[in-house]
Amino acid sequence: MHLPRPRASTGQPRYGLGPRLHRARQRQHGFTLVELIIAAALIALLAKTATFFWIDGLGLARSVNTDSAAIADGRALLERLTREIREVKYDNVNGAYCVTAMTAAHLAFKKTRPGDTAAAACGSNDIAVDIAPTGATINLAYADAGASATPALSRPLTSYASTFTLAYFKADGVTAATGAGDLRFVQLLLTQQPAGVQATTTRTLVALRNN
Amino acid sequence: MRPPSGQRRRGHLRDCRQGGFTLFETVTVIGLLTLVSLALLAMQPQIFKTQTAGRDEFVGVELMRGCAERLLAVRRNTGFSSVTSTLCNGMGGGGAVVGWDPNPTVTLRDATNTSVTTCSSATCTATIVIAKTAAPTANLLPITLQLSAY
Repeated sequence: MHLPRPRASTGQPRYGLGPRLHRARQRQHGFTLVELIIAAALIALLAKTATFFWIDGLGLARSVNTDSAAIADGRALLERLTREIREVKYDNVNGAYCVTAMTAAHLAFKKTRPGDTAAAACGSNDIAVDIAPTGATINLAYADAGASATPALSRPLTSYASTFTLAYFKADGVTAATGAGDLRFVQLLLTQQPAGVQATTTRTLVALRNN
Repeated sequence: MRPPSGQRRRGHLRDCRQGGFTLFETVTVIGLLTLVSLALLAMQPQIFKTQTAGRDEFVGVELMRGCAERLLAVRRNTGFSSVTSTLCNGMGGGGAVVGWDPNPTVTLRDATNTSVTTCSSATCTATIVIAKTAAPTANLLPITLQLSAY
């Protein structure tokens, strides 16, 4: 700041009216509007950075976590369903897979009980498996109706599903299967979408291997 | 600091010269701080980038796995000669799966690691990879499988 230096020789009051004071006031300049605006903008940017880490940062970390959880859930879900679906029992007598329900939202089938090598046809001794979405949950249920019967188990495999669609194909992998007789592939289409997070859609194919 | 007695006049002059930081200095400092803060804020897209990479890996690997299932099933049910590099066409992106090449790239190689169009023997291997058509691109590790091992 440049203040006018008082001169002893004038004998006039320092801040009296007069041409000298007028000149001094002209020299006392503050910041210009442009300077102030630039400074305010820079300070705003600094404030944004300073608050970013505890305001945006927490929300960001939360959404990344949720997204990762949904993806991990989806991966485990598809892996688990693939393992189950591969094991669908093939009825050698009738030449068809032991599938009791095959719709876009429901797959129910039988798989051979461990150690049960005698039964060639679908029978009550098999383990029944049921895959069906309920809202955001996809349930995998077992009904062990055989000799070593245990209570039915139903497990939710994910809680982030927004759509889950099953499709069934013949041996060419393209034509839709007409029934358990020509069924060779099951396609799984899954969209995982937790609240407030981007959707993740993927698709995979499972080959039935017991025919 | 109070100037010692006898130097008051000089001290007064010095006080007048001590004008604090100049505007130029202040703006320079604020500018540097701004650069630092911009660098910190630039981390934000990087976090989203990591997230996108994780999502792409999940989606891409499931698509490739479907293709692998198909190749192996065709080999098992129909034989080696039916396994071609175009078997997986249409199994990539499409429908609800957005942003991926509809045709995974399948490379078939014989025992001498030479690229072939049709598999002929149990030594045939298949390498599957799928490209992302929407930005940002994904660098997925290909799946390689020996067709006899199923």
